Amino acid sequence: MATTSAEDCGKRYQRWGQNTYRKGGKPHYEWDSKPSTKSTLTSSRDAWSGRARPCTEFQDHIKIVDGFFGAGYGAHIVANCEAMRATARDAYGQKLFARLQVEKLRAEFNTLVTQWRNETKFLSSSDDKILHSAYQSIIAMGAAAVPLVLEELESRRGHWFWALHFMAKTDPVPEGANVDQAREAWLKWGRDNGYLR
Amino acid sequence: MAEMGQGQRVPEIDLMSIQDIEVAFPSIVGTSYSEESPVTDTYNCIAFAVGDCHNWWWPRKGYGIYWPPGFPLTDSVDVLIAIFKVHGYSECDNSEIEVGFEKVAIYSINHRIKHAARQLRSGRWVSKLGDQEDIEHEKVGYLKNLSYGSATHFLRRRRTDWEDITT
Repeated sequence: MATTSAEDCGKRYQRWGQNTYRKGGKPHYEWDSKPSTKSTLTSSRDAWSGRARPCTEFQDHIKIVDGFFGAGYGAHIVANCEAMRATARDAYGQKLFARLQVEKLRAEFNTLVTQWRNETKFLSSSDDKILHSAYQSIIAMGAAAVPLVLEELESRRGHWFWALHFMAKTDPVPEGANVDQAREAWLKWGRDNGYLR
Repeated sequence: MAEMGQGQRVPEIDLMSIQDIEVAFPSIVGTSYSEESPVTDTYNCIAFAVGDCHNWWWPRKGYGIYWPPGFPLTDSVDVLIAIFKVHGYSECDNSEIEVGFEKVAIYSINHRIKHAARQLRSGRWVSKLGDQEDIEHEKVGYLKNLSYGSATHFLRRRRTDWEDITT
């Protein structure tokens, strides 16, 4: 099981914006014992058993949390602190991993887009556009390439709605929408889901 | 070149478009043709032939695509002919200009729709090229290629001034 060092915890709290727990550039509470695996609420008084006590200011904070949310809630936060940090690490890691995947795919994606545009731009048949090998290869890139397709849709338009439907496994386009409305619906979906700014 | 009056559009296509169009449609090389609209993927050739510049017509449901309700979702030429008939067209034999009539041409391969073009009062034709621009061209045969096939079906109706049916 991972241990929680004071340094680690202090940095995490600072990352979460609670940098009032730092003095002189160092975390000013001690917390380097094993984190509790208890998930049930216990008395705040018992929260430090088996671990070093946090500084007075942090204990005051726990009391404030207890007072605000009810007795034991502060201890619950302490007990689950590691889990919360792990969740934050996972979320950050997943975002970073997704971004790396996108950048890894970008060159291949751009090549396929150029090929698809060059070879289908005079076609009116949606079937012929969709069934083109480059378009199918882009669909095969899967969810990882959704941000690239949305960027392309935003900057250069194009009939990407079919591909997006299968890659993102959703379809925000309202029934009866035309091309412009479908584009707007997907761009809004992209912004709402953090794929576009 | 004759001097153009103010506000008249010089019928030129940028060099990149010329190159692309002439590579895609070899029969058009050396003929008189001109660009008639900006590049847009909002509508396609079938919509343009019918008179709709706000929708992309194709026999699919959803994905921003329009197809008239009540018609089968298949790209058979027969279905498109039925749609044109609803708009007052009836089948005819050829693409020649006929006084008092306007015509549309359907391009197909193996009886599957690939393109549509509309005849102007002058007898020339206008086509929306996929998600690119509209062009005016002299004959329907000049757009014959491996993607469009050839103009296989023609329809005509009594001519009224063409108007955008969606406005």
